[in-house]
Amino acid sequence: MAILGELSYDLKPVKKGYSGRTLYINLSTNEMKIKPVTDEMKEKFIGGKGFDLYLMWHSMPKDRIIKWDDPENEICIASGPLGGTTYYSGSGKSICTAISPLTGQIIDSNVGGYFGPYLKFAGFDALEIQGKAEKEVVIFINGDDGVVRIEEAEELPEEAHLLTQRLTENYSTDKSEREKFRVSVVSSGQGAKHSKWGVLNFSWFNKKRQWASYKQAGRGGIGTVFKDKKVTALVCRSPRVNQTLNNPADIELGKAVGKEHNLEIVKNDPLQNEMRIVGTAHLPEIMNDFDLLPTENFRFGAHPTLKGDNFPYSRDVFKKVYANLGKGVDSCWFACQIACSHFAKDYTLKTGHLKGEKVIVDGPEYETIAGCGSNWGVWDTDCVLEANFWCDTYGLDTISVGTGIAFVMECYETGILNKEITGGLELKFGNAEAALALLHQIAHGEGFGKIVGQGIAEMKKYFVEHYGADPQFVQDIGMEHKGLEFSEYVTKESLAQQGGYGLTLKGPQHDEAWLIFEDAVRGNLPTFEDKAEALWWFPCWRTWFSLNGLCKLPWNDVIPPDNNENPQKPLTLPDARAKIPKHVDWYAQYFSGVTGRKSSADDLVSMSERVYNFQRIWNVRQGRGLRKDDSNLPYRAVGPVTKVEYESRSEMYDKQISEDIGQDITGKSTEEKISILRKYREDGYINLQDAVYKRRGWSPKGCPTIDKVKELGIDSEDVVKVISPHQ
Amino acid sequence: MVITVNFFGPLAQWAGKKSFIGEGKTIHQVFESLEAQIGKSVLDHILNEGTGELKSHFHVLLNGKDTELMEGLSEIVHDEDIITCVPPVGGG
Repeated sequence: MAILGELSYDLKPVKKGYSGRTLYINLSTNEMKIKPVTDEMKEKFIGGKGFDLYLMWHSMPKDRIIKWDDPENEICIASGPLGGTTYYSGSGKSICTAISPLTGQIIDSNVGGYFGPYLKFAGFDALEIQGKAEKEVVIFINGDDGVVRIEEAEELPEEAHLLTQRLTENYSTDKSEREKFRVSVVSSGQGAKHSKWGVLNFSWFNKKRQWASYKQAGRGGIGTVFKDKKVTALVCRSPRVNQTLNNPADIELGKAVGKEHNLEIVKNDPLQNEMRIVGTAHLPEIMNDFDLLPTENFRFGAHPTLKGDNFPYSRDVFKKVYANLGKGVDSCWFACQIACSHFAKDYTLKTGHLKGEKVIVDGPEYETIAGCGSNWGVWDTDCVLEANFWCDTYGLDTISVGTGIAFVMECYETGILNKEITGGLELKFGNAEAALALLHQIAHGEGFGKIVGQGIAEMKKYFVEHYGADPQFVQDIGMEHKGLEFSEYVTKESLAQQGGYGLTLKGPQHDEAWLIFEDAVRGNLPTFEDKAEALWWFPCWRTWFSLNGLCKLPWNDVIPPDNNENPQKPLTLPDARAKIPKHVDWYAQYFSGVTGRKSSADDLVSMSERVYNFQRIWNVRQGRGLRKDDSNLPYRAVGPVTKVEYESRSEMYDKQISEDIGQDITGKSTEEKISILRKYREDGYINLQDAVYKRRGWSPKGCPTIDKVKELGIDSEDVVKVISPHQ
Repeated sequence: MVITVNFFGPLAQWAGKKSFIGEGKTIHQVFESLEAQIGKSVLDHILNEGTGELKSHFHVLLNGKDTELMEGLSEIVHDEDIITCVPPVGGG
């Protein structure tokens, strides 16, 4: 195979969670260089997403807006100082960033698998990839010998599951499981090449599975950028991992809290959500019961008739779907006790060019069950498994595919689309066969799928221009914001969660704030100020996991048994028990133990606030990131768009009009009531925006103020230049 | 008076099924009424023995709203109300 570039470097031990270097690769020139990690980077940007954003800020041209397919766009991947720890659950994450093809601004994705920690142990806290290769390449980082190579990709399978196995074998020193374990592969697939919904698959070889599974950096089309740069795969071979490889400042401190947290998970998960057995698949039946499960393009929040024992996506159903081979099989990083990465074994494919083959399906997780199941009006686990498998191997995001096809189905049902346009596909709700056929078209860039794969925002314009769709209607029902498709929660009855989707940095993904239960069910956020406080604290706190190479599930998906005894009554923020104060304190000790930087719970939130604001400013630099970009949620996220939606919960809506709005509903038609409710709810969102910007220290335009950036210590000349016009 | 009680997750396994019909004037009484059907005490299972408070593993909701914002298990129930007992949910 042809070697297009090679860089040798000295192998050095990691110190206090940092390798102290980052790796830059330019695929246009095959230039490679090593950059130092400065004290300022560690102090202010911590690691992970912080490093990614810092590197992109300084490497990309500042004199213009960078488009996703400009060669100057970068893909950055980093773990974080705590990433690679083997004694604390959820410590193996990688965080990827790029300018998104869907949103035109920064997208970030937090993903499991071994690559990020392996990259650090091979010598680098972060990887920057800029430029575009002429031909498909594999980048190999050899942490045994201290060599990075850019190699021409030759005769490799296109399907990500096969490519991952092949490269794991090819770059392992021998064929033993022990050696394959030291290799991690990042790849995408042909769906990423033909659509804007491309993901990155991050592999982890599991000895008991005898298979390299993968997790997805799913949102925002980073895989599409990857394929545009003509990268077939990244491969990293790491030194053998042990407890001391991350070289923490005080290993005993971290181990003590890690052990306590791990034991708490093992003891209490069986009493709560059984994530060790069903992962996030415990959620669909609960969401279904509370009208929060996206059903038929978010029109409804539940199965039309079924609940309880008969619900088709119950946790009992998924207990049978997953292989559940026992301890240590389902952890996407060493010794994680949440171990939520379940898989289905020997599933026989029903569609596509591999039809009839038995395969492993990594998943399905909640988002895929809702996105490619209930949201299509499909209640069949085989359809979910089929969509899950093909999305992964094509390198497609199951959330965007799920929400995107759901939108297409409603357009079909309402007559905007027809068989002539779809090439014969009868894309009605419930038609799994048609939905899967469309998925294959998207992946191959063929037929109607070529249009669909450009994303909902593009589809809205296209359907108006070419098929005469009503612009307001498609805006109302097309579940994207800032260009990104919504993840799978119904937000109509939670204003706080509307903010949790709309007032985000990257678009409607729930990783910044998941406030539905606190707001709509538990009623803990009654005022705009309460909601604003939550929409400041939770995004900051959740950001912290992505600075450190961590998964957030151990924080709040298994609750400590003494959580109710924390001093949080009355149940108002900032002391709400949803914060899990005990666990936040543990994370402060864990961080102190690894980095040697003694930190309190408040310090952790401050670290995140700085990076959170920096990402907002990055978006402003891209001509986005302002109030106008946070506005105009599709109304389906806020309230009922259609008569059938209103009438499905008319008692509740009528009550709101009578009691909260104070209008008499007597004699009013459903359309009139929809209109009254809409005005009230849209005004509520605007009021929330004002309250949130104030709490975050942003101008009414939605831009961090100069005082705020000074307070955060990020008031460099170029930052101030970007934000000055928007004060 | 017909009150539906729905259990989720391990609590449903413990009770033997997900959905029950109970009776009583308060949530507390409705839970007591289930003992004959389940063969064991719901209250003993979900309350801390010492404090009598609801264990952190459970939220009890009445018609979709948290009973902590009402009178707890002393809340009065009405015909066709739905009581739901769920584990804490953190979201994805």
